Amino acid sequence: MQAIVIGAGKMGYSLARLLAKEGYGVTMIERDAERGSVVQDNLDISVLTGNGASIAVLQGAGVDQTDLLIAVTEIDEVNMIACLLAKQVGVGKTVARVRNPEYLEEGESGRELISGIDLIINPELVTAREIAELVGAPEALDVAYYAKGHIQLLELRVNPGHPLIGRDIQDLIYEKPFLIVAIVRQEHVVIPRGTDRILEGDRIFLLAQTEFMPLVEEHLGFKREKAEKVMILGGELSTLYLAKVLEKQKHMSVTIIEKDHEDCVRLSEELDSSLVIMGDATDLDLLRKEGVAETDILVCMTDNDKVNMLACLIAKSLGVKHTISQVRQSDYITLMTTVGIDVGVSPRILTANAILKFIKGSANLLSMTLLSHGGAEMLEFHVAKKSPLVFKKLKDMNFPKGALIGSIMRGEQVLIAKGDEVLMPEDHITVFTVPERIDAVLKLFNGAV
Amino acid sequence: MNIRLVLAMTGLILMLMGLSMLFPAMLCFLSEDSDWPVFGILGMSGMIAGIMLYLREGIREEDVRPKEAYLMVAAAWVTASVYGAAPYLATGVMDGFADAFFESVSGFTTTGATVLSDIEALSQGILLWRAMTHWLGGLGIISLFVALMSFLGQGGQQVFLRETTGPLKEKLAPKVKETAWILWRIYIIMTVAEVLLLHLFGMDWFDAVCHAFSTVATGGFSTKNASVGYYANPGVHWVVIAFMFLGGVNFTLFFHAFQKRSLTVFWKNGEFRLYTVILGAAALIIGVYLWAAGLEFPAALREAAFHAVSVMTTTGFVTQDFNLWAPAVQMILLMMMLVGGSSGSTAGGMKVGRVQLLFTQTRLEMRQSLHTRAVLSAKVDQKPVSHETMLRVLTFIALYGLTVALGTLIMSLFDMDLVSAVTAVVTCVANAGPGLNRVGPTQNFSFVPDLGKYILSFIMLLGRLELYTILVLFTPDFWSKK
Repeated sequence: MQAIVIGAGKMGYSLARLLAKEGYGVTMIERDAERGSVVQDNLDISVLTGNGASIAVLQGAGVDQTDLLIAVTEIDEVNMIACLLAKQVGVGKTVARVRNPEYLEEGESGRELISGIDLIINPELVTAREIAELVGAPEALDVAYYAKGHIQLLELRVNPGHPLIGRDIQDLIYEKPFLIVAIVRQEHVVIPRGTDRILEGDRIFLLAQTEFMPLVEEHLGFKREKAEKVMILGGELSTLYLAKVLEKQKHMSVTIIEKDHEDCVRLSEELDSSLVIMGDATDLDLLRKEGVAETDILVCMTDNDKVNMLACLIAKSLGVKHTISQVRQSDYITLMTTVGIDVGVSPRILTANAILKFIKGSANLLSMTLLSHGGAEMLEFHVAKKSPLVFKKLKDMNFPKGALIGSIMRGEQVLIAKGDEVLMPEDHITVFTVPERIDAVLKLFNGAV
Repeated sequence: MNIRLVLAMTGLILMLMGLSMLFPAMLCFLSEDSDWPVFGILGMSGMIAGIMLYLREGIREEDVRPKEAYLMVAAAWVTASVYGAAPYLATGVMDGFADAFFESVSGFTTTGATVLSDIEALSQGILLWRAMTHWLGGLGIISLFVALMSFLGQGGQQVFLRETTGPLKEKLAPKVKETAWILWRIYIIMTVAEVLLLHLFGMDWFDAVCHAFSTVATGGFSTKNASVGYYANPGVHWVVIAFMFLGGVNFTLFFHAFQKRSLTVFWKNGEFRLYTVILGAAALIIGVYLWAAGLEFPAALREAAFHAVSVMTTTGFVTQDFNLWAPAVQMILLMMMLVGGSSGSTAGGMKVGRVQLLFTQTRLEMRQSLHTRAVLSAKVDQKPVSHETMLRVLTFIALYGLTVALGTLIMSLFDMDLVSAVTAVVTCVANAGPGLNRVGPTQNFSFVPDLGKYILSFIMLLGRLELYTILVLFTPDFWSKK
């Protein structure tokens, strides 16, 4: 399979690496010859210098034999044009990164004009949505939804002194069904068995029906908190998206601190109830004056990772309960959590995640989420009529090791998977897996489309 | 300054007014009224003079600068008022020019204040002319030309925008000609609908037409001494209430609602919401007051709604003498008169839109004092409002207050008590009609000395053209050669 990636920025680079690992023959198109040669040295791909929106360059890259084209240059228009051209010569799947919200607004007749682009990805919007989900469950390190929002997955940290420490998984019983699908222990993902014991410092992945999740959390000794006052530092585009989502929630008060006056004006014009303050994100007095101590969640979204990190630490010392930080340099995420920032969110990982989900998509794969910074994946499948797994009990299935079925949605009914459950045709199931087993799992479900 | 344009505009207005006078002439002729030659001669001579003036000066498609636009609008209104006063003098209804001019300005500015005490004694021709001045002035005298003729070009837009009301103006179509024509179509449909409904509830055709002209233009001239109170049928009252209300709504909303085939357009508009809420609250308070004063329940509600709507839309129809009401209720009426109807409607007053912006800005100031470094922006219907607009609106409101204060000072020199003086000025600047005490609903302005009438006429024009269009003519900058 052949793929073209246009733009050798950070995003293009990680995507090219990812695709090469997935078995694609990758051709990269990059304007800057020097940057191109750096990439050439590091990755097993071919690099072409030129403008990705030029049909001549695209043909030079063999666009007619390509299955997938991803355009992630800094310029929206180049990305869009490249996709449209590629579609014309018959490329199967096209992905464009588009940042400018003006292109994403839907006209009255929908998005027909850019129908040549199969997936439009906006990193700022993706980041904002992810953070908005986290704000909805501040105690969690990660939140994901499945089965049309009926199933919720939370990543929770087992802090010292937590009642769960030392207990066997099989002893945890509650009237509402739930499942601990994985435990992350010292950066290793463990698919737990009944006899596994929860230890201090573990991070657990908890799956339950969304409506019962607060009860389940409470039973297991986690406190469901309600965030009502959120402060966002930095006023970039992603802040605007995030504030727009948060404003829609009742009783939510949002304060934004941004030091550029023009950005402040734009935010205050576009937003409704949010309060926009002009000032420096690391100005202690200002943070105090604007009531950072009573803030439930502080979200650091400035462009600068160092400022984010510093601001989070300052805020923690002033008494903020939860801190979420955007991280540009995704390598910093682990570092951040060790110094006490609760959650790090990387737009790059999220974007790569979304593109990967799209690439791997098939008739049966409904969604795919990278968890624990890529240490595990959650897949959502549609069970085909002819699947060899149909009418089998879960415990009798020869399921790949390192993977397990989390939930089953049958019509409108949602079940948390237990060993005695039987798979039926047309079920929608979620499967938790470590990355090494993902191909085996995909084969199992996609084998009989 | 291109005086040629101003003269040509004067010619156009004379043509339009002369043509309009032929309608009363025809009516008088058919009903064998002796006034018909007066209207006929006046109308024909006006038309001929107008055509000659227009042909001599001519308007080509040419650039109209702001200065010329202001002068054209002012000239149009003054010409219409002076020429429109002629029938009152020529038929012998009035003796002095001051009286006739006051009546004429009151008509075109849709104020509805009068110097006449016995209206029922007037000929049908005069009554129709009074109603017609309302109707022609309701949407703006010039806007009709803008709607019908494209010769003004870009200049049409210049004058059109200076005649329409409200802080934020919206063009409904790319061409100003089409925009004006859309508004006139809405206006005509509303008028025809009201004529039919009024006739259905028992008014004769003549009274129905006169009252419809007066209602949709939110004017206030009636053909009866007791105003709408003459009619006993509650149906008539409700029809008048409904059309006064519609006259006070921003006309562009009707267009959008029609285009989208949806009534939610109205409720999504903040100005409309505030307009309705103020009216509802006032009607409720007045209703309770009238009910406590001994009126039966449905009648109390109807009377309350009638006066709340009549005063807020600055129509000025009455069915009761609110001079006899409690001071608190009178104050509510006075405040509503000052606020007035919506932007882009035929109503007068400061306009709800401006008051809404005042509230918005006040809330921002409060918020700013709590968060000194906050960056806030004023919004109307989720759309940001620029600082310049806000400043212009706030200045307007302050200037409006100043106009009332100075006007009152002058009027109190003419042997008037303070309440009469204040309400006379308020009712004139808001283009409402009746005031309190000596200028109350059952009284008239005939006792005011001539100079006072000229001053009140000036105030009516100030109010109708929203201060700036007139005041700018009195600044040295306007007349300097730069």
